[in-house]
Amino acid sequence: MEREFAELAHGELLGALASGEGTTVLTPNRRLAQALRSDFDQAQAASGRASWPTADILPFDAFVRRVWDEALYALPGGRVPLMLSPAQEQALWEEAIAGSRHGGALASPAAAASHCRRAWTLAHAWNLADPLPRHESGEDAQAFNEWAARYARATRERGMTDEARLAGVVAAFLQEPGVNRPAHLVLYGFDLLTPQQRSLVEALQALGIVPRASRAPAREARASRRSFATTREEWEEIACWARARLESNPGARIGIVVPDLAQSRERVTRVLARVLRPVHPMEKGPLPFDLSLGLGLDRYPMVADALGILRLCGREVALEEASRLVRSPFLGAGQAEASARARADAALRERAALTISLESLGRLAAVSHGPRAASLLDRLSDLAEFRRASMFGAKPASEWARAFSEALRVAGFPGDRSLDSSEMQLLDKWHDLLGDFAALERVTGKMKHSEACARLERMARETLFQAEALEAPVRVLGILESAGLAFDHLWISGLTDEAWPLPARPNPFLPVALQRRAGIPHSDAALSLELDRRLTAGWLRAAGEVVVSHARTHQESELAASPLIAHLPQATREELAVPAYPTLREAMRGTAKLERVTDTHGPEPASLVRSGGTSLFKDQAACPFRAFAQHRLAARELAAPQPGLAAHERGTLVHEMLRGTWEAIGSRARLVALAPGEKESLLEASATAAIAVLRRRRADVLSGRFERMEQRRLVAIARDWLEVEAGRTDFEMIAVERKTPVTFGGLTVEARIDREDRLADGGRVVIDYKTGKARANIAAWGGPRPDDPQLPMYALASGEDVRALAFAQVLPGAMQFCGLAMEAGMLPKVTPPDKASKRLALPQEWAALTAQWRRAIEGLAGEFRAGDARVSPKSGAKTCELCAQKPFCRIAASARMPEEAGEAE
Amino acid sequence: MSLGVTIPDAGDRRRALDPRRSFIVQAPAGSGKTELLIQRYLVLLATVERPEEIAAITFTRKAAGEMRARVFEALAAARGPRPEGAHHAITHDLARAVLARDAELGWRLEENASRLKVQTIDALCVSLTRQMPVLSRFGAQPESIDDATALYAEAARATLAALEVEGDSAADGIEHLLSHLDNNVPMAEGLIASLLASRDHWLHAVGAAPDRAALEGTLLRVCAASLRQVGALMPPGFALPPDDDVAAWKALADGWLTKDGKWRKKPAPAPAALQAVTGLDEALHAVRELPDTCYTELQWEALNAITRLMPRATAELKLVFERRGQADFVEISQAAIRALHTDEGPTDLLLALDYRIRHLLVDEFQDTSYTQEELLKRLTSGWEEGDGRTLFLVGDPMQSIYRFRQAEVGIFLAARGHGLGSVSLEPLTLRANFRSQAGIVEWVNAAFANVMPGADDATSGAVSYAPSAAVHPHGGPAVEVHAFYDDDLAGEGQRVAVLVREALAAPGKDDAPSTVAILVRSRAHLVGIVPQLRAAGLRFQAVEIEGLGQRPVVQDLLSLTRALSHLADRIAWLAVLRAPWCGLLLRDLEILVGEDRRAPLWDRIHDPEVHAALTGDGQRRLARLAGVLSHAWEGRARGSLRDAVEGAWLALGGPACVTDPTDFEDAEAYLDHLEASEEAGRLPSLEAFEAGLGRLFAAPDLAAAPTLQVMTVHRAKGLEFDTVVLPRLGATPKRDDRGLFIWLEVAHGMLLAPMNPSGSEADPIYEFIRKLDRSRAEHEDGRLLYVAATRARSRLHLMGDCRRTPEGAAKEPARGTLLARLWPTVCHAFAQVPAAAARPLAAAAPRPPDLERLAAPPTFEIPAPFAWSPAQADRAREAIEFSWAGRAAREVGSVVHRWLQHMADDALRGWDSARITRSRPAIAQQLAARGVADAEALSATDRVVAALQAAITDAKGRWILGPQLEARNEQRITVRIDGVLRQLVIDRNFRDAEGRRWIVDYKTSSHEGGDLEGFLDRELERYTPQLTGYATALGGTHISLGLYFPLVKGWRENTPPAAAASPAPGKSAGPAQLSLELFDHLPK
Ligand code: SF4
Repeated sequence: MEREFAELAHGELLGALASGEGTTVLTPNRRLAQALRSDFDQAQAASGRASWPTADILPFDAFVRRVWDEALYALPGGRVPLMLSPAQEQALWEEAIAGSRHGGALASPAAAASHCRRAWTLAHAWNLADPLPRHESGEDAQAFNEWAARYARATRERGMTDEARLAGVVAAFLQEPGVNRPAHLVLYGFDLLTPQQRSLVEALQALGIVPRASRAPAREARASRRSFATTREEWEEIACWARARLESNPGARIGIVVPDLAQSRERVTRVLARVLRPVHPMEKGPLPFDLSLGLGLDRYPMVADALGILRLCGREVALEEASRLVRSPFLGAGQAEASARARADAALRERAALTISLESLGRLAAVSHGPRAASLLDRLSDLAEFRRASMFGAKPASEWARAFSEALRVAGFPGDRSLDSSEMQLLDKWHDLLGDFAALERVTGKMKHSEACARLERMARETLFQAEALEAPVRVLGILESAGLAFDHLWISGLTDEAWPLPARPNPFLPVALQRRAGIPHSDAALSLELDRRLTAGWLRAAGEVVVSHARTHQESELAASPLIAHLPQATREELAVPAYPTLREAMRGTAKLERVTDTHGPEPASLVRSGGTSLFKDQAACPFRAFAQHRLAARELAAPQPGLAAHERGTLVHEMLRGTWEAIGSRARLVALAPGEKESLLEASATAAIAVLRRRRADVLSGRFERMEQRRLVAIARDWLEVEAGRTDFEMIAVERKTPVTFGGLTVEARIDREDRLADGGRVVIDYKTGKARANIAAWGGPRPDDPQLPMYALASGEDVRALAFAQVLPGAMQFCGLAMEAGMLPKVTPPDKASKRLALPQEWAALTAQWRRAIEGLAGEFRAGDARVSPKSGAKTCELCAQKPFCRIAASARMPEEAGEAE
Repeated sequence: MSLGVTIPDAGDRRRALDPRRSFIVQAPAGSGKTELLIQRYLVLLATVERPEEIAAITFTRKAAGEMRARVFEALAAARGPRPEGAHHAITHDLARAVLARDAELGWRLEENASRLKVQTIDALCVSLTRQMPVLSRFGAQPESIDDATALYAEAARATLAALEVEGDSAADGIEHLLSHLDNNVPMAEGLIASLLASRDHWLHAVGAAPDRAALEGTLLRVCAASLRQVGALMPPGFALPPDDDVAAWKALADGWLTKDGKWRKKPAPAPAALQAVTGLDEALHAVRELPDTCYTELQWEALNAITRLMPRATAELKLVFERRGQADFVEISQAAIRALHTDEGPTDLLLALDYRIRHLLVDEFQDTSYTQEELLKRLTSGWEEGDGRTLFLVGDPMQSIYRFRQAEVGIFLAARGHGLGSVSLEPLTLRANFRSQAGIVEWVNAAFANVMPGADDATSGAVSYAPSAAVHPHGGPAVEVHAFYDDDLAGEGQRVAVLVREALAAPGKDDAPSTVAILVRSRAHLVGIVPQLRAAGLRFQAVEIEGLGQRPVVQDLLSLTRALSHLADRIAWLAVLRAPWCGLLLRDLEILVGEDRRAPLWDRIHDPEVHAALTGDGQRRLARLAGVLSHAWEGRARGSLRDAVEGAWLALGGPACVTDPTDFEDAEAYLDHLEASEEAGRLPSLEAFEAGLGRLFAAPDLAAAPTLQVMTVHRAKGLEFDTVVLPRLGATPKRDDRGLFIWLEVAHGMLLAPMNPSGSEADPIYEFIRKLDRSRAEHEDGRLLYVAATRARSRLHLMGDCRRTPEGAAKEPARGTLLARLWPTVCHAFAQVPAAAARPLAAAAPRPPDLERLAAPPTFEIPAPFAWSPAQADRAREAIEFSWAGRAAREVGSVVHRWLQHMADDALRGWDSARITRSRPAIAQQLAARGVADAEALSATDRVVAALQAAITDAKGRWILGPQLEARNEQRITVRIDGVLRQLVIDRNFRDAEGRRWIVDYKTSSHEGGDLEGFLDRELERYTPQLTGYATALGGTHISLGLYFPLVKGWRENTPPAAAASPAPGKSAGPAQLSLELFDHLPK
């Protein structure tokens, strides 16, 4: 600010504040107000007092609100307009946009509305709004004009104003009795007054108040510049620097400026914590730095789950969300029942469709294997009941707020875990939010559940929250809030040529040329440069030690120092005297004494009768560890929600279909004798039955139109397949889906066979249905580690008269048998071993072939009995590709190889 | 670059600097195109009013940064002396002119780097749409995301959900599509998602899918074009069918050719005039493979289902984008295109941006997509020669290798042929090669004249070769071909190691250490090579080679993440128990698992009986783990998941088990990915998270020098090395599967066909498109090879493997390998090698790996933290009222306080019950101003009025509010208690008639039910310590304290004993409410 107001030195200002003459100090932001107050309080404390009148120091906008608030009490009703809450403003802008000719076309009207609010604020702060300009505007500015007119009308009709206009509104109240006017006014730390602020100051001047200006005392700074290969290195040094300065003077005030604070919040916090407080992670305690930047409420787990519960009271939600809520600690008794709920969720995932309703959730959560999550089920059913009673229809916002509040209570929110201090504050804030939501009814009409939820969510997203932090010696600041503050040591990071000066970013809703002419900062490259030069100069006077830094690379791009700091002398780390402080992880690295133990075999299995069928042999053949993990340690994967039916379920349907069909038909003779109509109705009936079987588990998927489509698919598949069967020689079906215990090498499992037929000569044929092409492969029977030994196992166990075994490839467009037989002609396309492909290198004789199979299978049984759990995948990476045990078997630790797959990109 | 040598194309280079003309420049590898671009940029800068009027577009952010840096370097150098070499002197002079312009117009360019608009095309689109929220129809700029895979799937899912929606118009289409796909929903979802990813091919800016006529028209056009080419070969004098009659042409071919494409001898021999034309037989034979140009009904049914669904799916995608506030680049570029042109004509950027774009420079133009081409057309719409606006396109069609990113080399060819949009372009081709020694340049010229086709053809993606002339002289041996046979992976790997070792020992450029790169077409091709390098003790930087998710340290962290996310994730829990930090043996694991095969291991871990059954070693290990994880579980969903996982990892001693610093990088990268993926402290979808992890790469070896690098050819584009080794040229690439649909974009349309539903018979249209696609891919392979070979400065090694006949002769390598493309040039190297049998590498069965684990808990010194304790007290909290209605109560309190203050200010003069009743509307207004909802307003107002009425009628109230000595209301003071500062607001502070000093606090709590007195006693007890503390700080040990409850007309007082010790602040449970209330009547 050019010297238009009399200057008051910092010391004089503190004196004036102490004098009790009623000095009000206004600052551009909250940070600066805090800093000045803390200067003042320290001076008072230093003089030995135990108490003193609180100094009247506040940000400009808080002052405006104070005047407004006083006017509310001082002036007769109706003269002081009410102010819209941010959510109400948003709602009115949305309405203004929706009703305009552009409304329907915009991808995100809600986001546009919040930009409008920003443009509106800017326009008023810079006196561009009265009236909004009509010329030189492009389509975007014209659209905004139109919306703004609607918005202004809506507020006028309601007799309300908003934050953007408040400064103008209150100017008129200043001379009213009952409204406190400052006796003395000091503008502290302003680089720039907006025209709107200036008008208010002028109004005060008109009342005879003489404003003075003041700022933090300038310091003679040692300024130096550091450049780093990467941002990571930059931050490592900043953290060590801060610590070094604190170690040598624990009372030092240290500032760290971060241009992109909003994006790097987490990273900065982490680096500083690692260096300043490298303690054991379980040891909680205050961190000696503060970083003021809230997160949207919806990003806090507690609020996210509250919103989730409310969504669940509507239509269906994504299964993943339901699953999260089931396991949430914020749903009543979530901690006490955690384990039972995890288990219920695991079962739920196997049955549910991708989206789920509250009712289905309650139903499916009840079908858990093992102990039930009783409290969960109660909550869900109470909630469902509440939903039926109170969550339908259109209601005003306050009624929704009440219903939401009640729904959460019914759900047992916020759970049985005791809340920590920041969760208490959060809960408070959440209730505030519901209150704000209720107050929306002043500007909105009735809404449906989905709209109410969506609005509440949006409000949560836009409500920033940060748990109260303690004042700490190290302050991490964004650029704007750093302006005007004084420190002992100040580090400004990230000043690359791309970041500083800030690129011009004019507001798209106001004509750019106008913004430039009004001098709005950052609306134009030249203005940016000018302002940022001033800010840079300010930093260089703000502390005794000032360091500026930048990284030389970002991702892949090379960067240089900002031209605004390029003239500062480069310093080395040594010159800055920044030692390295170890972080916990570095202190830990490599300190472990690692041992290598051979643990390739577990104990012998306690029981030699194993459940789970022949897949044990299949897994043992593929990889002994996999068999051990799956069959002895029950290492199962959680089911992942999938659209429609999973591949194995589609397979199950086809199996069921063919089972039903063959149970009804029984023999080829019957098949060929069937009248076409008879056949069709038989197929329809089988399909219906097959679907009914799977629907017991997958009711959510197998319903409606999809069910009818599945019905048609099954009928079509079976019809085609019966063509193939009709082409066989005569046979009689003797078993479907038969299970028999089989014992190999002392190990008993249950073998299941899809079908067994008796041929005319009394020979038996065993058949396994396959619904995939790649899987119907007789190579899977051979070798010492057969990939799929089920059919040979069954055949070997069934005795001599099994003469052929085959996969029935039931695949639309490629229906056929594929297998081996003692003699040709038993099944179409199924040959004896001596006629099979040379590549398979099969023994020529049937007996030799079966003996080979037996040896292999008994070998596998022997391995399993010996507790063999070697990490030894049969065909290397190919075997492992789809295996879920990778993290458990630690195969990656033993082989560091590039990926097999993956194209060049 | 100034070598004192004459530059063969100096004239063209000078011409390219004419600021009034538009050009398209082909700049082969090593031709110094960046320098040319810089010079052009400088030339233009000296002519414009504002630097923003020039938009330069680069392919990557990195390139943009480099270009900008080069411009600034030139400007800085221009302040120095003029350099010697002619080439550099040009730059110098141009830069000086810019400096003069800058000074004249006051740009201060060097201080304001962002005024140079050098950016990627994506960044340009973002900057356009951001300034035009309405025209782009975004409303507000969405976040742009590189990888929207999950969002496509979400949209596809939402689209398919319409199947079950009664009366939804899309349902029939979905049913059609699904029955075409055998009711396989995941497959349908995948198909729609992949079509959404390339929807810019499908749907033009208007968002409509192509119709049958358009599709068949395009097919016909492509067929006709190839028939025209055949027609052009025909000697005159033959009556030819029209171009669009495929059947007639086929009949013609059948008449002259035998089945296998030879000229017929009988019944009538083909005319000799035809036989004399070389290549005509092949061309005619190829005609027979042209498809019918109409779809069968069955095909159209399938196509129609999908094309009709696409607009719906796109609409769903827009909704997904909106919900998330995100968009992919396709969306953003289409929005930019929209914004640049409205119904009324081109948008005037002056209004939106405050400047107009007058010059466009585009680098890597060969990798432009159709969408980008459209954008450039819109940006230059209406530009005319000589109007002071120019377009400058630079690229090298021979280096177009980004088909998988929608790059279409045909766009370059077309622009060179007839300009871009309204702008006509003068073509220039650079020839000088400033990079490689003459030996390499000559070899490349000879080889690639064969590898690349003789003529350009956009449809089949053919680009002809443009030779280079070396500026550098010959420099020793240049190119060497190394032959291997019969899958001799080990031999090839060993040779690579030897060559690398030699090359590293040789001196590099300008005496810098020699740089070596091993370049492969796909990561999979490194399988045989990496172990050999390791065996030879060579450390290397593998750039984007190894998947991050493959690293053991990352897998352990992933297990920890999964375990902490879900107690029933058994594999994750077993993995955590088996990881080095715990290392339970199988025997203990089996005991732990127990009989109930679904019980979460969590319960078992905490079961003392289970614990007792373990081995002693197992007990110790498990106890340690259980302690850490219980703690982590207790605090779940409080902060970020990343912090929880990282904390548990540290507490378990994870970092202690790590020795390689690269592992820390990888762990950090994993945790960053976790942080980026989590939402509100949980992972929204584990599958999506793991899929994302699968797309990340492990960090290159930190301990390796940058002199040896291993990367893919794509990654090496734009780089150069002294020595380049190209192994595994004989490796067959992964075959792409036959998709259910095939589509291909051609100029002005797209070709599209479904696979035959039965999957049995090949469909001619499908096969035709597939062949065209194959041919594009093969042409691109040739270019990939060109890029690879031209990375070398002084030495190039080519290595390949081929099969041999039983007699030992080399067989021609399989089609699709890079070696096959080079075969004519390199086959002699293979022929020369004697046929000594090389043994294929027999894979020895590896010993199963041991389990690695902590021998004992790690011991290390925990570094000392900075010793600090805060100087303020933590503000204790009021007990939370479980309802949002608590807010109304609070606001009632605030309003009551304000009125009491007013009444006390007036010492009750002029206040009576009637006045309070009259104030009802004002009170209601004040409550409303504080956000009390209308629904609550009435009862809240009642409560305020009741409190005030009570205060004014109650004797105690009148005493407190009435005239008193030294009275202060709402007194704001700062007090220091035990060195801690607090700011207070004291409701009322006065001296009564007896001279007693009072501090009174108003409480608006009400009390329902009996025992009011007991309630008031408890309240007093609750607040006394706090109030006493403040009283002490205010310097009076004789101050009396009062609590006044207007709503219940309650009063409690306390006169502290003179010597009362002040209690520690913030420790007791009591002060909470007070401190909160004291603050809360400030307006917020
Ligand atoms: S991932 Fe591979 S090694 Fe591990 S268990 Fe599975 S198959 Fe065996």
